[in-house]
Amino acid sequence: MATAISAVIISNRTSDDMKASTANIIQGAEGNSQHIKIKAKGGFYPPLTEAKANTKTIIDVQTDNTFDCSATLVIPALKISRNLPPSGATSIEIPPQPAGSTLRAICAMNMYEFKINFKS
Amino acid sequence: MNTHKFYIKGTKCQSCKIIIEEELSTMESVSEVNVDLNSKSISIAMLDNDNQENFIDAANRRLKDHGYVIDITADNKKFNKWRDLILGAIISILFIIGFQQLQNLGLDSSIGSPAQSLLAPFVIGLIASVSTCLAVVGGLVLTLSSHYAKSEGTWRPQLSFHIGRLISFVILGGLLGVVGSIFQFSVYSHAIVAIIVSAFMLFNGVSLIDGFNIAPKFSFSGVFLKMAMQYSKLTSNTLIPFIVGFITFFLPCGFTQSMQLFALQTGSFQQSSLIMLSFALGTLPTLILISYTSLTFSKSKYAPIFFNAAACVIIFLAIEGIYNALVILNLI
Repeated sequence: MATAISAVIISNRTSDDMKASTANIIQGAEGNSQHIKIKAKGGFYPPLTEAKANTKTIIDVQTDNTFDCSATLVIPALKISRNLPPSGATSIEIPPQPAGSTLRAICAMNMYEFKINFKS
Repeated sequence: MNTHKFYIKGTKCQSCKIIIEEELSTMESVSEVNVDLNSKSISIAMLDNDNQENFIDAANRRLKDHGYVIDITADNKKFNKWRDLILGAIISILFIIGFQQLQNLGLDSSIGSPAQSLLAPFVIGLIASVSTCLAVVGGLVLTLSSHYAKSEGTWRPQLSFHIGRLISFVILGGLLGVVGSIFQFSVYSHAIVAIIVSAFMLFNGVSLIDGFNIAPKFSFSGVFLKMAMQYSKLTSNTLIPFIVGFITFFLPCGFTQSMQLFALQTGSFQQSSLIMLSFALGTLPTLILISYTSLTFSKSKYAPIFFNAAACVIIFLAIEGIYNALVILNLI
């Protein structure tokens, strides 16, 4: 019984009908790099970003007196994990991602997440 | 001569007791009958080892005309077990939903800077203790409290746990300031610790389900506790909770880790220690509340419902803990 309840509650956490943001992306000069800005405080914002595939990508995470779970950023698929400073900017470079893929980043307790959809 | 306990159905009034006792004491194998109307039970001293089922059949033949039925198990005992389990499950669901709503309040983003004073880490601790960290450390406290409440019911194990946790934060927290990153585990080590702790909680949660005798055949924590009990009761009641409290320093809680990072940067044992102690004290009220509530409920008449509710919450937290750890390790 408890297992069933767990399954229902866990699966309700992620909703796939969020609107993807592109406002937080700064394209590089010749279009061959992109910076994605993410704010980390009480969660990650924006929760969903649409970015270019097959492009050098740098995620700039901004913290502001962040002492909650968002201070511990993990990207499991890329084996990346960072303890972010309480306030400041942290840049994380990730390899170019294939078109149609989605990268998921979470905090150390899997409480908060943000996703990036890579489109060609 | 053997005394057996049976259960009676159909009793409505005081005179029923007299009727039943008279009726049954005329049976050959019965030397003494005593009916307890409150618990609907009968205590019968029998002269020889009459087969129980034969006896019950014979007794029921005599009692049938009066409208009573005698049985080996209480008629409502099975009903009670299921009722208490379902009530406990419902309470646990309400609690879990309420807890998730609490997270949606977004307390996490209202935290200010701890650079100002030692009050800030304390406040952060207060907020952490009602955030998802409650699921991690609070779940462990609930597990320990329920386990010890069931087996011996004193405050000593709880006290040991809390003292262990505070001392750990003082010493290891201080060491963070001087030795730095040695005590800062990677996210992956935290995930492994989380899996071990969740497994511990899962075994305990299952064994807490009241009335169904589903204690798992093999439980690592059970074996460990038995070993400790061979040493002395002192060990199992005091030392083990102390150790469990001590290792909460290493549990994956985003707040703890960010405070640890902050303390680390001070570069001083004293400052680092004070920051971590202040944080731990902030988490104390909620944790003590859990300990105290567990102990109080376990002694009340709601004990079976409480243990079932606690069991469901613990099992849920354990499964969620394992799931989250597997996500971090990229196994899901």
